[in-house]
Amino acid sequence: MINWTALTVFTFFFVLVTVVGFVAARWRRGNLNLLDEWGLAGRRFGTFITWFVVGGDFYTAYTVIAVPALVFGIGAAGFFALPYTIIVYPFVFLTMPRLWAVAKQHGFITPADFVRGRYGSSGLALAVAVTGMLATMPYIALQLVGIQVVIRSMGIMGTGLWRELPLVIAFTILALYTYTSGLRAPALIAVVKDVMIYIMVIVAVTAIPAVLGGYGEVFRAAGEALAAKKPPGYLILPPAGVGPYATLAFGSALAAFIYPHTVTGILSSSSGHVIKRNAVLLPAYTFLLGLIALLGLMALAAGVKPATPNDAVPQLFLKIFPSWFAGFCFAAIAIGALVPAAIMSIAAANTFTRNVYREYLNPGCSPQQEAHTAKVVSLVVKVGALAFIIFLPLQYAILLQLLGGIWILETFPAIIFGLFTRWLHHRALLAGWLAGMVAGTAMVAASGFKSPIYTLHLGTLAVSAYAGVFALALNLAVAVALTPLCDALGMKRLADTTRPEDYDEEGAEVPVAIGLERPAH
Amino acid sequence: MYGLHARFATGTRIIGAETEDHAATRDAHRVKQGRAWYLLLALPYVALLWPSWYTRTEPQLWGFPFFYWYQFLWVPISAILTGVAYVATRRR
Repeated sequence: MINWTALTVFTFFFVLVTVVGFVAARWRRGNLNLLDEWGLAGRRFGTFITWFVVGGDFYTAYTVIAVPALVFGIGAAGFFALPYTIIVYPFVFLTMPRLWAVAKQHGFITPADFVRGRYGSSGLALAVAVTGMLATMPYIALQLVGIQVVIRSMGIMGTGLWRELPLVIAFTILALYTYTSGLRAPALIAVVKDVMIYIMVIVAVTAIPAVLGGYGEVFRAAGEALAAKKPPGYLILPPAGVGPYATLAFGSALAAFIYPHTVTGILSSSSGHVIKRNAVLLPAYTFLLGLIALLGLMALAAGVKPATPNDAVPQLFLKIFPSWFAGFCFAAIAIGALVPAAIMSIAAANTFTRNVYREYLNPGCSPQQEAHTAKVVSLVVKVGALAFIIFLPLQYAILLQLLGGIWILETFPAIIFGLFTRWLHHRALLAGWLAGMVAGTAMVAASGFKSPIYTLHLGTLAVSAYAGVFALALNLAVAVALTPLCDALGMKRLADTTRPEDYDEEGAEVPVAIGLERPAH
Repeated sequence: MYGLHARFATGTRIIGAETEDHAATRDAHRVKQGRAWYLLLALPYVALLWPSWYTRTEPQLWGFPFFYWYQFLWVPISAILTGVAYVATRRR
């Protein structure tokens, strides 16, 4: 049965952000026929907007659905998202301002652009670009799941293709305003979305425990419900879960800001200082994510019986909230899917355009051709994601996203180490990347493509950890071992177009600062 | 005091005026001096990546088992540490 009140509120907010998306083309007006303007909004976002953009981009709708779903399903182990999104910011603070500075200096738009400039190797850059696209595509598809889940929760069922119609409409609108406005659209929508999500979470974490008898009662009831599951979940992490918990948090944190879409968010900011300030301010979202994870426990305590774990939170909202507020929350989640889906498709389009189209297909392309290609590719990417979700089982997208996390980690040495040193030989990096890709995939395959956790047997010792971390360790070992070998064999190192001073994140704001400060001295 | 020198130092480097070498040395010195602050950024890793330290129920806080409130507590602590590192290493 269709919940008309919820649907009306939902539709109102959806129409609102559609208008915002199209109006965004006029915001901080720039020449949208240039990739720097369309794909990075001219690198002009200050601290405030960057906070919304990266927040909206990194804490996705899928996260809002999947993290509490995981906690609902297995308990404490699903909480690794919290340490993950805490430790990611010291890392961002130390690395991303350097990437921003060198990217600004050389007009780099994607991580692979940087790798191309730093190592001079188009092969290594292509490996980084392809890995980035492979990892991003299923991520876009999963954002759709967020929309699908809330639409289903409002009682829109239908049969056959009719069932998917709302999703197709939502995505078509998204595709159109991303095409016209570029990164400006998700940036402006992110502001609306985040205000809505904050309202949703603050209300949820105060009102729901009040109904359920307080937090003490929530934890007690959730603990009982977890223990009764088969296999049982745990309210407190058991000793066997410690290794996977820590390595999932660590590996995910290293991977988070080398995805093309998070780099897009970082590069659209206006200075290294903006990024550093955001490393201090973005943990506000982490706190929010922790609260969202608690919703999984609340759903357990409330005795919600969802069809799939993904439906746990929507069902909880429908059970506790009046229809209109449930509709508001559903709109927040759906809009929360649009922002990252738009940024991800822009990032994938930027990557294809810069590192495949301009590098291999049309080296002499004009800036206009470049921007136009990116716009068209952003459409293709979205249609692909939509087809993926409609025609293939959801498990495939989830699996590919899981593998994507491991794959993207294999680009870590080339990108992040490259920001600090050029000691590693580009061929050694390529060999390390390949070893990591193969080993990481094989480890997940060993679990029957079900789990990212792999148990390594060293004699009598068994170490369980995130496959991505094992694969990255192998990747690094290969790269480090082969570097002296490549040099000894006389394999030539290619030209590095960057200079040490290009990485100076402190220097970047100087011209403005002089203008402001000179008279005072 | 140092901040003032560094401020001028960065300025002169960009404008390309007289004491460029001198300024660069001073800059390098200050950067080196600031690096110790980056150790603060390692603390969240130490505190969170060894979960055996916090996989406990007691002591509870407002009904939250220790496992949960300890990790929540590290969100603001980590932000503050990063903030201190930012202010301390900022050149201007």
